[in-house]
Formats: sequence, structure tokens, C-alpha cells
Amino acid sequence: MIRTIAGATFREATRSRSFVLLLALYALAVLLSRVGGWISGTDGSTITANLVMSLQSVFGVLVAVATGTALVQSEIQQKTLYTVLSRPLPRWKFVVGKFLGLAAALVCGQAAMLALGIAYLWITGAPVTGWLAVAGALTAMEVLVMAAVSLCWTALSSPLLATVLCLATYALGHAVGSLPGLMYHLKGFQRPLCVAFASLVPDLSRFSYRDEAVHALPIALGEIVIRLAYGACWIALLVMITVIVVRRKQL
Amino acid sequence: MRRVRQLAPWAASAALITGLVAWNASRFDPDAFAIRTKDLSFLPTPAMARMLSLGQAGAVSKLRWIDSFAYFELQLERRDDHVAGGGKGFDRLYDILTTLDPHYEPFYLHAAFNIGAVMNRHDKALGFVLRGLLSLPHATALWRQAAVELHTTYRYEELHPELMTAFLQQWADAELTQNDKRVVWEWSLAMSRRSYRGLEQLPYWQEQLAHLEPGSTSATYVEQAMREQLVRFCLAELQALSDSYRTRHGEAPARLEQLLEPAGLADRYPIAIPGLAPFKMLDRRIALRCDPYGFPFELAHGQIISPGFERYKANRRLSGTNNQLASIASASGRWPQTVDAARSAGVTLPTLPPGGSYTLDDQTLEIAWTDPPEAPWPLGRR
Repeated sequence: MIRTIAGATFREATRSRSFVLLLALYALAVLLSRVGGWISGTDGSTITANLVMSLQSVFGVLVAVATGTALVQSEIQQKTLYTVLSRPLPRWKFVVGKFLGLAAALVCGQAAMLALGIAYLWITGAPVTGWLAVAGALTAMEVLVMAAVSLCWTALSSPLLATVLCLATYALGHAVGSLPGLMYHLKGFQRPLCVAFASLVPDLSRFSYRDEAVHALPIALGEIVIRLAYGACWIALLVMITVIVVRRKQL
Repeated sequence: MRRVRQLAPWAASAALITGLVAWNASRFDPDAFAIRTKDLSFLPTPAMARMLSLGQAGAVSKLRWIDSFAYFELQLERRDDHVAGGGKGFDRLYDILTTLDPHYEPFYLHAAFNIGAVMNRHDKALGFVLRGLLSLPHATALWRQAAVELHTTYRYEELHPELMTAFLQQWADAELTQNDKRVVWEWSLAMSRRSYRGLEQLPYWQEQLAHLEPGSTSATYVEQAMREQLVRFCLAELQALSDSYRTRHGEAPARLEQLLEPAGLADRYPIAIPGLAPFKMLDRRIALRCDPYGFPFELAHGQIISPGFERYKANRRLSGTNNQLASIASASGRWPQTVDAARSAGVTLPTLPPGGSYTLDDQTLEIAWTDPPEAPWPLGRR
């Protein structure tokens, strides 16, 4: 049953306008990224690579948020949710199926973005290394975490509010990565308080290997595994919270 | 009427799109292009900038950099980059950029140019370059920039030759290819010719030689550098003994053996004779050693001559002579077939030291040398 729901969600997500339009917009932005290189007065390869890799992250998160927040809401609006839930189907299976379908669609989108970005870099003469693919994989994990965040916020609030909260979570998730460098400004109880709040947010900077990859700086396999495991833990937690909320929700 | 009502929104949309596109395009009128200037009113601390970059530090740093080009125009024109609230705009700007992407070399080079060459704050400029070397330890351009700052601004070669030598040695060690190392060695060797009388650089060259493949181009280069330093040292020592002899006797020495007078040696070396000075023990007496190339030293009018060093200098001059040959051949449209023909065509052939003769091998002038009477000095190998 989970597979059926995931399959349907995958088809729905990949056919949604927001998914396709954001991918198209990503392709246009990638094409324009070379302009930054031209303006810089350098050979522009590094700048183009930086922009392309960042675009994958930004557009990936936008796709995750736009698609993730609309999935359940569209089911309610189209009243298909009631058809599904009227069957002897545990709600956790519905949530897990939804997430897996969304995750599969996002992974496909990320793979397409990465392939397009690397192809463009190769065509424009920028040095292409395998580290870019590793960075792309970590970015995909970042997007999956954001998809779980969007699913969770959607379960807790309205789609519009969930979108805003997701983007705020994305900003916070990256900001907490810089917090250790600013902690010396804090004194007394402020420090543990800050650490406590920061620990409640997924540290998305762990998936930011993009800049190092552009400079072909290697990353250890163990480090990649740790980062992926960190993402997987957050996804599991957020999906579980979503399941708990949805089980208690009066639909 | 209904048809008109249906078409009206399409027509209005088409008109609006056309108008807006034209409006946008008008900003790109080539006649209206002007250098954009702006103030940078927002320069957060590097830590804050990293936080605000939301995980896109590399891309944000490049966009900030590109955006700041207009700021450069303004500040470079005024030669003043003070910013509101105190501090220097360039310092803060490059501080942010290098924190956001510490592995992007152009940031450091631009910082060195703008802060050092233009704003004349060379201490800050050097600081940025050295910070760059921490992140990019093999970046040749950064090493070169740092060396230029130390040489021209801080006059390290003149005031602190030992520190400059140490810096150049670090640079050479950081280079990854033999060709790049040799560029630094050229600088180091040229500096030693200008600044050193002794053998200050010799241990470094010995260490380099120990790591090179015997017979390789780089090994040959290092050996030449070592022999040059050794022979300069020997010539300086013998010349000092010759001058000392002249002072004591009122005339220049007629024979080299006269330099070995015990009084002169005791005066020059009150404690001990240096190990690499051109002397050796022969039948329990101090005798002159050959030069590092294997030739006996010569004496002419009180001046000490190393035939091996003269040969080395003649070899170094040869590339200039070959350039002259090539340009004359290019102008006349034909290559000389013999050395005499080359000389007749206008090629200046410097007089060679004894034992050398020019040969023309195809289109290249070469020098044929007789073998040295003794083996050249052995050079240390690990």
C-alpha cells in the first residue's frame, strides 16, 4: 500500500506545475550563471560553478517546499484524501507513502539538476570533477530534509504558513552552522539557551560541501556517510512527528 | 462585438509585454553606458556575512565581489575607502570575501592590488596575501605577490637578506613542479649574487640536491648554483689573501703560492681555515685546491681567476649569442653554415677562455670545451 501511495505521489509531484516550472526556471538560471563569470574579469569557471551548485540547492529547496506543502492540501481540496483514508489504511502508511513518493520525485529532480549543471559546466569549459557529484548528492540530502520539514509544517499548519515556516527553517538551518563562531559574544545563561534552541533546528550547513567541491577539495568517505546519516535521522524524526500529528488530526 | 471583447485582453497583454520589454531594453542603450558607482553601506562582520549567506557562501561571495566592482571605481578614484562607522571599506570587504570563500585566489590578489598598490597600505595587503597562502599553500601567484611586497615595499633583500632567503626557500618548497621551483631558484640565486659574500644559501641547495634525481635537469641546475656559490666564495677568499699580500709587501703577488704565506693565512684565518675554502693538505703543507669545476686557479695582475667559473659564465652568455644569431638569420633569410660565416654576418662572439671553441650545430652555436685537469668538487648528496 505504501508503494501504491508513493507511486501516485511521485506521479502527482512530477506532473505538478510548480515542480516543472521551477525546474525550467533552474535551467534558465544555470544558463545565465555564466554572465557572472564574464563580468568578474577572471576566466569565470569558478564563479559559474559556484552559482550552478548554489542554484541546485536553492531551487531544490523551493521545489521541495512548493511540492511538499501542496501535496496533502491538494488531496483535501480534491477530496481524494477521504477516499484513501476511508479504506482500512493506517495513517502512518499514508504519511510514509506520501513522503517516499515526494522524496523519489525530488531525488529525480535533483539528479536532473545536477546532470544539467555539470553538463553546462563541462560545455563552458569549467573544470568538472567527481567532487561536484558528491556535493550534488549532499545537496539532494539537504533537499530531502527540507521535504520532511515541509511535510511536518504542513501537518501542523496551513499550506501558506507552512511555506513561510519552511523557508524560515531553511534560513535558520544554515544560520546555526555559523553560530559556533559567534558564541563568544554570549555570556552566562545566554550560551546554553542559544545552544538549546539551535539544537532544535536541523543543521543544514552539514550538507554544504558545494564550495569545497568547486575547488576540488576532497572530502573523506566517512564524513560523507556521517552527513548522510545525520540527514536520515532528521528525516526519520520529522516524518514520525508528521505521523503523530496526522494520526491525531480530525479530517 | 463579442469577438472584440475576446481579443481585447490578448491585444492589451501583447501591447504591455512589448512595452515592458522595450522599457527594459532601453536601459541597455550602448550610448548611455556609464561606469556604475555606488557606496557599500552594508559590510557586516565576516561571521555575520557567513550566517547571512544561508549556506551559499561561495556563490554569495562571488556575487558580492562582482557587485563591489562599482564600489572600487568610487574608492579608487578618491583614494579613500573610509566607511561610515569607522574602518576601511576594502579591508572589511576582502575580510568578508576571503572568509566566505577562502579558496578563491583572485580575492587575495585583488586585495593585494587594491589595498597595497592603490591605497598604499602594504601591511594589510601583505596580510591578505599571507592569509591566502594558509588556504592555498601552492598558489604561485600568491607567493610571487608576497615576495614582491617583501622585496619592493619592505626591502627585505637589502635589509634582511637572510629572511628573504628563508622566504624564497619556503616558496620553492611549496611549488609542486620542478619548473616552478626553478623560477624561484633563479630569484634566490640572483639574490645571492647581489647580497651574499659567503655560503649562506649552500645548505639549502644541498638539501634540494638530496631530493633530486641525479643527472636530471633540475639536479644539474642546483649543482651549477652550488658551484657558482662555492667559486664566488673561493674567489673572495683568495682575493682577500692577495690584497693582504699587497698590503704587506707593497706589490701584488706574482705567483699563487705566495698567497699561502703563513703570515697572510694567520691574518685571514686567526682560528681555523673554513672547510670549503680552496685549500688542501699536501705533504703536510697547505696547498691550493683547484676551483670547484676542476681547474687550477690563475692569477693575473693581482686578480684571482677561476677558469671553470669563466667557462660557466661563457656558457650562460651563449643563449644571448644564439638569440642574436636567430635574429640575424631571420633578417637575412638564411642561416650561416659555419662559425666564421656567423661572425661575418654580424654575430658578436665573445672571446672564450682558454680551452673553449665555438661550434655551429645546425642552427645553434655551442662551445666545445677541453676536459678539466681534475675532477670537479663533489657536491653533497644524502
